[in-house]
Amino acid sequence: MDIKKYTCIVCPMSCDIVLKAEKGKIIDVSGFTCKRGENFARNEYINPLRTLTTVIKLENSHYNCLPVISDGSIPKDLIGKSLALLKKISVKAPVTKDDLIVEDLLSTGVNIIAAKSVKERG
Amino acid sequence: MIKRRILRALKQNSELSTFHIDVKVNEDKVVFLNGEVDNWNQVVKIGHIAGKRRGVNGVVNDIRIKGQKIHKKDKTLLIKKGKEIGIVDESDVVIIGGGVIGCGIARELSKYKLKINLIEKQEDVSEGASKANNGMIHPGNAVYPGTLKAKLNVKGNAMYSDWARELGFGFKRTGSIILAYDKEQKKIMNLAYLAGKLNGVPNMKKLNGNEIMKMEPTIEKKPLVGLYTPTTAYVDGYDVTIALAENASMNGVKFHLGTEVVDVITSNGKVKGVITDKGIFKAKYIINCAGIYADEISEMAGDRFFTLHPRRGCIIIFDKNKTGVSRSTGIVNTSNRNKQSKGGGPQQTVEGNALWGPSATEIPNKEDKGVTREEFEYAFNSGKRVNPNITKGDVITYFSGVRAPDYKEDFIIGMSKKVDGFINVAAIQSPGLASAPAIAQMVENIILENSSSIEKNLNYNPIRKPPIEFRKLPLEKQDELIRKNPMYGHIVCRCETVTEAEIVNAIHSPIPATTIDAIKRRTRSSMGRCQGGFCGPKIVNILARELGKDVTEITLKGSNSYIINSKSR
Amino acid sequence: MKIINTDLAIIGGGPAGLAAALEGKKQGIKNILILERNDELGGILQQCIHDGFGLQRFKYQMSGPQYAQMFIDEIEKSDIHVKLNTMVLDINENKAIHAVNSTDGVIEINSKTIILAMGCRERTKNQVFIWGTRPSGVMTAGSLQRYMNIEGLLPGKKAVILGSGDIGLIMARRMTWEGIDVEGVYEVMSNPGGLTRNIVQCLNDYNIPLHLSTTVIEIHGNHRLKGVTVAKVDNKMNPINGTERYIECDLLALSVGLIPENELSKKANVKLSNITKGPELNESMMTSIPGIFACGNVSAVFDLADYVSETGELAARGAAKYIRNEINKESPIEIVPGKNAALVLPQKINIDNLGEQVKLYLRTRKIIEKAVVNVSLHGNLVHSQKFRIVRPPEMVITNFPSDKLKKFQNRGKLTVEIVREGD
Repeated sequence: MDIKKYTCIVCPMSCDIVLKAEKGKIIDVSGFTCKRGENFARNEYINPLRTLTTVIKLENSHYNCLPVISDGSIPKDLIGKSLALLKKISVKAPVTKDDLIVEDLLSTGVNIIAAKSVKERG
Repeated sequence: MIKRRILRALKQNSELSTFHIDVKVNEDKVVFLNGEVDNWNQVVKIGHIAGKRRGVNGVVNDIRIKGQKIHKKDKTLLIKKGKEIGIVDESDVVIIGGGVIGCGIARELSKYKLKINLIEKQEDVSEGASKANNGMIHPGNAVYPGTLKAKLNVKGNAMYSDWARELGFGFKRTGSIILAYDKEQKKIMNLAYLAGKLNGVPNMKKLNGNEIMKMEPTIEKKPLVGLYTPTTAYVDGYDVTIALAENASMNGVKFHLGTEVVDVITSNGKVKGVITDKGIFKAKYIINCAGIYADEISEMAGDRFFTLHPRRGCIIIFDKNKTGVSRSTGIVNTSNRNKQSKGGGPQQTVEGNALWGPSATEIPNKEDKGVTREEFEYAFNSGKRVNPNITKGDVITYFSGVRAPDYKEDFIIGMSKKVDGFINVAAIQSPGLASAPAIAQMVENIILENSSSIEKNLNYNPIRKPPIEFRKLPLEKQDELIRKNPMYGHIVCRCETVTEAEIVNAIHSPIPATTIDAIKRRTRSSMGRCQGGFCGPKIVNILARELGKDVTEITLKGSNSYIINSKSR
Repeated sequence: MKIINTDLAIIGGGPAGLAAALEGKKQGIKNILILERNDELGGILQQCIHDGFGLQRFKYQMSGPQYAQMFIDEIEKSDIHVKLNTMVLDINENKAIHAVNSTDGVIEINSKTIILAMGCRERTKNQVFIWGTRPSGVMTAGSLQRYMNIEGLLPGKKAVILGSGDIGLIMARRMTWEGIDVEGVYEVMSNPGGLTRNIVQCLNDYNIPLHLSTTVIEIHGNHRLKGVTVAKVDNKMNPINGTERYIECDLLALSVGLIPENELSKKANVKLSNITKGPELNESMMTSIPGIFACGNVSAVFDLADYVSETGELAARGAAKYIRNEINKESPIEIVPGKNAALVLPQKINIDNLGEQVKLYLRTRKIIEKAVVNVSLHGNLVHSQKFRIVRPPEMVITNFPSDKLKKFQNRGKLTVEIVREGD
């Protein structure tokens, strides 16, 4: 039997969750305090997901970078590829918060959006 | 005779008698030591035994530690490079070293119609001991009577008020106090009084405990007696050096920073010039002010008669919020101190920060500027004994400086007997800073006596205006400045209230500041509580902009001390 | 010299100051002015591009800049005045503020109320007594964060992090994501300083080791950082001989604590607490100087921006009451941290000043599972609250109806303790 211990990262409570699986199938999850925690543990076993936050090169502004964030969680093992992709692109000011920067990142269904609004240089 | 006396002294020392030390004395009464010992302190002890013998004119100490290989920097490639570049300039004088001594001499000589090139290895002046000392202009009662350093200390001390007035550096002449808490300490205090009298220190006063407490109310315990010496003064060593360099530059001296002397050219017992990594500088006079490297420079010139042994000192600076003694107030007889040092203690900088130290530790490596816990504790205890109200929680920064003593523990100032035109100004340890005006004058006289006729520089102007310090101005003046130049309205260093305009001024000053540390010394940015955490990134950008460089080229203190490795995108 | 008169002057436009400004407007304060030294509002949030903000307040996890933008958008729609690139240099004994910027020159601001919201500065390498040299490549985690996230610059290739507080942990991941090799995180205490979820998603995810009870004792390199020496420490935090290890690196990031930035508060003669290192506050977030309030990290080091904004709102309500002359300046009840409570905010209370709720912010000295917070006035238990677990890095908040205090005399000591259930 597979016994996995996860510390939930969804909220500051950081519940210690124990997940039991047999032949790749989850048979029991315990230790969570809410549904999000339970889902987190399940995902950690099947397909760990993470929020991606980074900066993108910004032009036409006296700032060099624009902070961006994924509007959902993406698979942990796609983070490396995602960062490499985002490193190559740039955005031109003006930008409004929540502007779509990359749609459907690596076919995950998750978008990369602007985390703030930036006026153009002037 | 000298050799016999040295060997006898070594034999009488139980620790050192087991070593086989080779002692040679040449016709100039210079002692050459060779052999192997177990540790560095023994190397220094033997050097001192030789240096203290009467009649000895110099000690060259080649004693090594068993099993340790000396790492000597190989300069052949740099010499080759310099030769390939060829002659870049020819002048009357080349000064090697941009510390307080080199810059003081440069300024003094700029009074004459002499073409002068000052060559400094680092990217700024004052990067050696001149920036890492406690800034005390000693009065001359803690230095051995009869020595050259005693004579120049007292003379130099008296000249400092004129220097301060002409050059505009921060200066406080508030005197100093030596405290004695018992009969034993009182005896030693009296020795300082006697030394002071012999050296010509004026106006010393022995005060009782109550009088001392009135002068320095923050002292924790009332002393038995104290010796008050009114002529002691305080500066920032780097501030004096920069002021001297700027005035020298304004009066025609050319400064070559980031340029390292790798060899000295002589011919027929006469100096011809120096080879640097940026080419050859020809000159009639070479003045060796190379600090801890002066022995190597003298050796390059073919006159090896002294060895310098680095003695490191740690200094601690505290938050301005805690007030301690307003003048140097040290307790006599710290029994664990290095006998060659004055013992250290608490004092206050011109700016008003408590400054404690320095310690004194003999180290084998000239480049080793690290602070150790032991040296920090020594410096801390030297002040804690007087001002226990100031704690470790008030520490802002601590750093080390490396002194350049020889084994006779006195200054070496004079024209080389072997190489005409080569003037040594070496082994300038404490009281070097205090003696600097007198040293400059002494070297000036050496040049004047040696030359037939040197005309005066009719355009010489001794006055150097200090840079604007925004934080010190009244509100109306601050407002006026901002209207004239909006960069005064942008505060870059919030701890010390330094504006962008002052930083830009420093970058474009007569001795341009091109590194973070150079800007720090000229403006006080990064000297405050947050130690550059807030202003650092801003100053990097300002430097890049004003120098037309990429941010990846900006350094903390020259060489490979880059702040930024690469751009992320 | 420009002279401005205003009803509320807020020093600092970060999560505390922004929330205070908007709440002040809600409470009917007419003239509000924010003085911000940076070229944009948001304070430290602008460089905190990681998520974890807003969960309490907006019920949605967002990054620092997003959290800031929520407030900035509202402020831009309002008539709240903002002066950017403006550094406050002094608050004198008459409560006059002197500030400076490039367009106005020197400004004097006379305000009915002042809210101090200057946040924190970072503890430096010298304050944790690391020995050795002073090369480039040594910086605080906040400076590193600024270089990487605002300037787009990388200060090194191989890093060691000292301090397992949240900033250190977040930067471990950030550096890894930008291609900087993080050799490890070193923590002098025997427990990590930051939130567990940051240990998981910043260290464990990337196999970055966390070395507890280990610290950096020496820095090597004259010009450029060459490496550091680490050593294990005993329970008195002294290095243990023989455990030294040299690590080659060109970047040392220090995440060794935050210090509330109260230099201006000192200039105004505001009384500071030795425990929080911030101003002593009453229930209305008012300092010892009537009309001067404080909130956010300048009053005590908080862990969540959400709580910081909350205290900003409390301060604004206090300022509004003060303007309406509704605040009693006396604070006869002293709040005392009791068993296991490292700090309590506020430090004083006047029952007559209280609104509907009393809100207390606490930090625990140690990890306690099944914890109970007990609040007692004159030895009488007035409020108890259970917590599944309390940890030192996490602020504990308890609130209760102020009615519970109204039957007691308006004097004496209010004690707050944190104990294990059943103790």
